[in-house]
Amino acid sequence: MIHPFAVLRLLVPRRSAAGILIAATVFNVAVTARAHGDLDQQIQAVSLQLDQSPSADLFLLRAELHYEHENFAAALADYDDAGKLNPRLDAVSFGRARTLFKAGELALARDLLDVYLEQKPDHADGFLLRARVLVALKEYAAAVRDFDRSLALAPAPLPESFLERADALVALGDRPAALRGLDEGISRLGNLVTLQSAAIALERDLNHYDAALARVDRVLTTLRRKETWLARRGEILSAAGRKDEALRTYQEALSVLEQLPAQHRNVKPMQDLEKRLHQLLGT
Amino acid sequence: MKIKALFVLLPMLAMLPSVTEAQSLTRGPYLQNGSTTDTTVRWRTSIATDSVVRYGTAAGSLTLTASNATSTTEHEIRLTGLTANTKYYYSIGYGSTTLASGTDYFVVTAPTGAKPTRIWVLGDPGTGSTVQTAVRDAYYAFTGTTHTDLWLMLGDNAYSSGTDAEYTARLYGIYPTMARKSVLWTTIGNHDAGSADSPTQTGPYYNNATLPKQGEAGGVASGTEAYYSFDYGNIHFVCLDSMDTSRSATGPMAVWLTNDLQNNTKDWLVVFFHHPPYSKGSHNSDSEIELVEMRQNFGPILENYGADLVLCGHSHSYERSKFIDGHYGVSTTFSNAMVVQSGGGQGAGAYTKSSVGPLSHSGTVYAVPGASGQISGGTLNHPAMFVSLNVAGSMVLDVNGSSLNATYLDSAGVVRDSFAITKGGSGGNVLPTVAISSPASGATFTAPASITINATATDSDGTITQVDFYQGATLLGSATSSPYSFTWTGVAAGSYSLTAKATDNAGGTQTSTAIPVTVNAAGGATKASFQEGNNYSGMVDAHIRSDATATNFGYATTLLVDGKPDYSALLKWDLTTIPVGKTVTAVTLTFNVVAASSQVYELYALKRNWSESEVTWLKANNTTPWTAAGASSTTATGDRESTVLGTVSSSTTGSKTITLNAAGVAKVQSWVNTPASNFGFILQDYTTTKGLELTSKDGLNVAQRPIITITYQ
Repeated sequence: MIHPFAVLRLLVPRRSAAGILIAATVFNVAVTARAHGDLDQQIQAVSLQLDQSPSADLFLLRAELHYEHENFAAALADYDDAGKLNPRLDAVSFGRARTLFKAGELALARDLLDVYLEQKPDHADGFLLRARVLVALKEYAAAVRDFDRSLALAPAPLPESFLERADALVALGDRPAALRGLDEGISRLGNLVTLQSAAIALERDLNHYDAALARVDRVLTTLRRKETWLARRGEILSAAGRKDEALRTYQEALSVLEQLPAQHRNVKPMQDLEKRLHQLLGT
Repeated sequence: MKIKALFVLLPMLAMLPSVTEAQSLTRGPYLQNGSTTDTTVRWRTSIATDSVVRYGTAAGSLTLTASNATSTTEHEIRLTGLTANTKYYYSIGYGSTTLASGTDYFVVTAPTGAKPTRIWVLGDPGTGSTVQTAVRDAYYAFTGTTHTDLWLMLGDNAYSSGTDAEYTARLYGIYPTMARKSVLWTTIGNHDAGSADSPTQTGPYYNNATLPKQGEAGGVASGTEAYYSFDYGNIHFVCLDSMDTSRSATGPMAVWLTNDLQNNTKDWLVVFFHHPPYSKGSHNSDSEIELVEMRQNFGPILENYGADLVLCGHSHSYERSKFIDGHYGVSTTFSNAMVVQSGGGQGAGAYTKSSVGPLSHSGTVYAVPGASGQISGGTLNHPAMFVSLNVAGSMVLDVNGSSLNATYLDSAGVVRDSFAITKGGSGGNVLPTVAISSPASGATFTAPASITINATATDSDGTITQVDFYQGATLLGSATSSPYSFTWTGVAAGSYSLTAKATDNAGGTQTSTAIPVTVNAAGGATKASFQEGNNYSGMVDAHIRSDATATNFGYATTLLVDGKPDYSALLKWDLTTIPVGKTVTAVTLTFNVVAASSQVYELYALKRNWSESEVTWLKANNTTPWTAAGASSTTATGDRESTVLGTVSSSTTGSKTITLNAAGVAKVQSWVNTPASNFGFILQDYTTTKGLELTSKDGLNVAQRPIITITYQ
């Protein structure tokens, strides 16, 4: 007989975003399978359920577990089975595309996402995924369009998306556009060291040393400890051929560093910085 | 009453004395994003209104007002311009109407410098189960009137998929009194991500939280609530997103982290995220990508910048590392060379760092207190760990100047682990040592008992000012001079857990290892009960299944017995606390029946050793197959004996006690006399057709786990 409580029950909420649906599906079942939380054991547990009662949700769940396990072939097979049992399951297309991308099947992933995004034109994660696929395919112009679309749809995107779009624009040879994109990120997310660091590198590539210095100064206003970014400022001045200013800035960085309480100079990066500043100053 | 309904009702009941028109307050208030000058107060109402917070430094004089005229049900008011380290009482409401207020509605702003700080840490709490509430209640009893300065949630804050309703019921509904007076800081777990998305920062996890994206609480701006940092006193906290953000060593989160740590001016560095770099609990840090990448890519950064403590969840157990550095590979590559200071960090062996501030590669403790809502077992054998327990509980951190004391408190209020880190060499206070010298662990008494508790306590850099004696979380009495002793009189029959807490002249405290004792009812005979998690840790159980012949069910929360397909349950209790030579006169087993069956299952003694984490239908352990599949051979070299020791049958669910027959009593007697012969019981009858299901020793509710009760003289 089938044991009354042996079969785990699935209560899968339906959501509009496919990615959310996948996650929710996985995690709902993961709770019931928690007694064997290790990934292999979870897969075994779901396999056991599938033997007894196959369903699209269970195949989808196991596909996600295989994906987490980076067993992409098994994941794709389970996505296929899930799709056969429930052809309307949006999560299957998104999950398959993500798996194909991770498995290096870039063209297949793009083709699948083309269809998916026609049906889901408001799915920010879908556009972000296709942008990443297109970057991998070196189709940078199309990737930039998808990054644009994803960033427009996402109310609070991560800095990553702005940085990846900037990289794609650099690959297209359009550094000014990359800088504008990073500034859009700074405008939306704030004066972030992540975005400013990338922008400073671009300004230096373009020999825009004053602009790079202005960005460093803008970051410096937000920091309580300034020695690392002062050293960075000195490096830009040095690259710009303004040696005297560079030395003065290195000296300022060293002074700031030496004025730190002793207990905050004990980490290796600070010791390395102090050594490097002494070398640059010839002291 | 259904549990879910109860959770919805709880916050309202809790606020009844001080709430007007409580029917319109559906969540909160709760505090977010606290700093030395600002704190956010959030709440939800059933009807959209404007938002008003009245506040002031005296409970009866809320003379200041912060408000927002926009009509909303999601109220969020930022109190600004506050004074550091100051207590502000507040009320919430709309217009001139107050929805909630009282003496326990207050904000204490963060201090600018060091002050004694209490932090409560919950990992994977949001199950909505009795485990979650037991863990909560144990902490509330433990902390008493000591204010919790802030609390951390390590992800999986609301099961099963982090929906808004689950957050209401399983976070805000469970901790209303804590949420309204202590700022909560969270990280996202995989279950929270079931309904939320970091790349777009959408979904309930992000909607419910107000976290510092712009460095407004002391760290470097990250631009996202997925990862952020903040300061409290002399502690810098860093929250990372191990779930849904790139874990690349050169990715934006790593770049931000490096900049943030370069900007740190605080003495202590505490880092928290969901996926543990080291775990052999219900998740395996050798094989799961999130765990591997956090270890490989972020471990070196954190240790380079002198992280003191890294807190994670995900595995539903308690694992706490040694004081380690430089272990970035799989568990088999761990070596003692990576241990910066040996020992468990207790008492005189507290972990020490020579600098008060961050010090590179000077030792880090990695803790996984992920059992604040459930326990899920695992092999629990990661070699980097000093302690690994399948015990529900929460962690308490007390930071006092250059000392950090950490305690793992189980759901019954018993301290199951503790360690300390002290900084600055002679500048730091060395914590006292304390141990209970009598009674002995496992001692038995007869009711009404008079138990004299003696403790030894020393302080290598000062003096002992007081020793407090506890039963569980209850203070029994104190002694201020040596010999430290207290006599607890009139003790009724029952099982108890005794601890002693020593305080030194610098305010440092240390709690002894818990000593379990039993007080038996008067009458000559001693009756001892053994139930996993109830002051006892010595049971193993599992079931084996003919329809899953290679699957181990050692950590299942239920035990299944059945025929067609064939299931058997294996159970073993460690009985070595019963003195050899005692005469066993009666034995009973008590089960919680989850699924009833009127058919009869027989109990036999097993004849060979088996491993809880390895046993399957085919094998007793990974290397030894059963003589006959399903542990059914009764031959001389077989798997079980043929003598029936008792029978189990229950046509109803709930508690069921069976009494072993004379053969059963004799068998237990032999186990007491020769513990090595104790391989436990097997409950089996493959001729049956209707299954029976029992709560296992891994069941979430301790009270429902199997009990063996032995009467002896």
